[in-house]
Amino acid sequence: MKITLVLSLLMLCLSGLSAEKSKEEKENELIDFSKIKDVIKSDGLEEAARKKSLIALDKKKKRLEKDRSRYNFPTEEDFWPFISEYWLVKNASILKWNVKKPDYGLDESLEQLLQSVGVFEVKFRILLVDSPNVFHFALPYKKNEVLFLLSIPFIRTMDLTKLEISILLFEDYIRIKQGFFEEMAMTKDIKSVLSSNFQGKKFDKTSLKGILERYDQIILTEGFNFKQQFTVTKEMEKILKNNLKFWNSYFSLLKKIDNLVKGNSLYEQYIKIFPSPELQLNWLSPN
Amino acid sequence: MKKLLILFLVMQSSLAKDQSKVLDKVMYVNKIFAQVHKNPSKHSIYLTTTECGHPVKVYKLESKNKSRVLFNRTWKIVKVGSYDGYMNEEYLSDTKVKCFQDKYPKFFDSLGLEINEMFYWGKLYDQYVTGKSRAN
Repeated sequence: MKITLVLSLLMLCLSGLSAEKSKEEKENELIDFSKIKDVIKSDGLEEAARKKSLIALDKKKKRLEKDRSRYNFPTEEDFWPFISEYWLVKNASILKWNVKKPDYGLDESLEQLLQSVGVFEVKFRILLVDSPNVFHFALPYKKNEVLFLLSIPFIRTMDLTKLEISILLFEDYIRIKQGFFEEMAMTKDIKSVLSSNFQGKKFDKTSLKGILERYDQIILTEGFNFKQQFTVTKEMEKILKNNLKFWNSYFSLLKKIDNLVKGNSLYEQYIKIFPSPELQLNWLSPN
Repeated sequence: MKKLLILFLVMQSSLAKDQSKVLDKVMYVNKIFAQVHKNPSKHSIYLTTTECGHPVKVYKLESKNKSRVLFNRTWKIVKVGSYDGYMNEEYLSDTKVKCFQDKYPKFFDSLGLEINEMFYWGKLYDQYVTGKSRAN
């Protein structure tokens, strides 16, 4: 008796787990309209039955579409914030962002700078890291929102002012707006699957590994090229030259970085990532 | 000085006795993962990690005469499962948002996130310094 009860309960649970069909679909399965065709035709019920089956068909279509959408690959807009944060989570131990940090008041200082240079309604997030391996970066993120990565040892060693730090971040903002990071990080595999659907296929995780490796390369070893740096520096010149205070701070910042990379072996790697502060100073100096 | 300190502590404890926690509303987690803290500080001990879309009971403080006591502008008093703690209000919405894991469930599942990754993801939001440039 008990076994029968347990079995019937198990059967009920299993039937509950299977994909739910709509009421109309179930009715269509139970009634074979072809056998009573003549009767329902005379009663004018054929039209009603046809409408009902159309509704059932529509519901089935929607159910299948919903089921298929579960296998969607993110759109490019949704993908960048996700993958940038995923990279930060995966590299938490290398980056050392999980530490208690003092309040440097960077939010207010960057807000003021952005507003002063006419960049409005832009949200930002700054993640301070306690590692000298990463210097400063803007990672691909949401539209009208920027995610900055900033090394505490890097800004402390140079004893930067709040304005200089903000200008450093603003340079990263210009770099990300130029789309250099996305361009370099995007792989063929990922590009081909964005906004696609993988129902019936096995999702290949190696494509994600590929893009995470590109993040590693850009941030930790390869960085940007001369052409990209030139574009960014010239864009900075165009924007900051109107304000003498900002312009002088940008110069002083580049000089400080130049001295640091020449005098401190811990930061030699910097010129590989951002080539190079010395060249940037030359590009900006009037001949 | 000592007397003043004792007086202040006695007053604090008597004020706390006069206040009670009353269920205010149910809110929903709006970040991929978010942390519940033991105290209203992002450096406080983590009690549990919640996932986007998770309903959270939000409480308000009321004094004996039923008037609302302003507790904190940033932190909400919450109950998540068996945990009584605090959550940053930035991580909560009045209505359920369309979460990344709801939009792309199979993709998200296929990542096979480990528990420590979920925990770190929740911590990540506590570490951000946020701001916005406004057009005045």
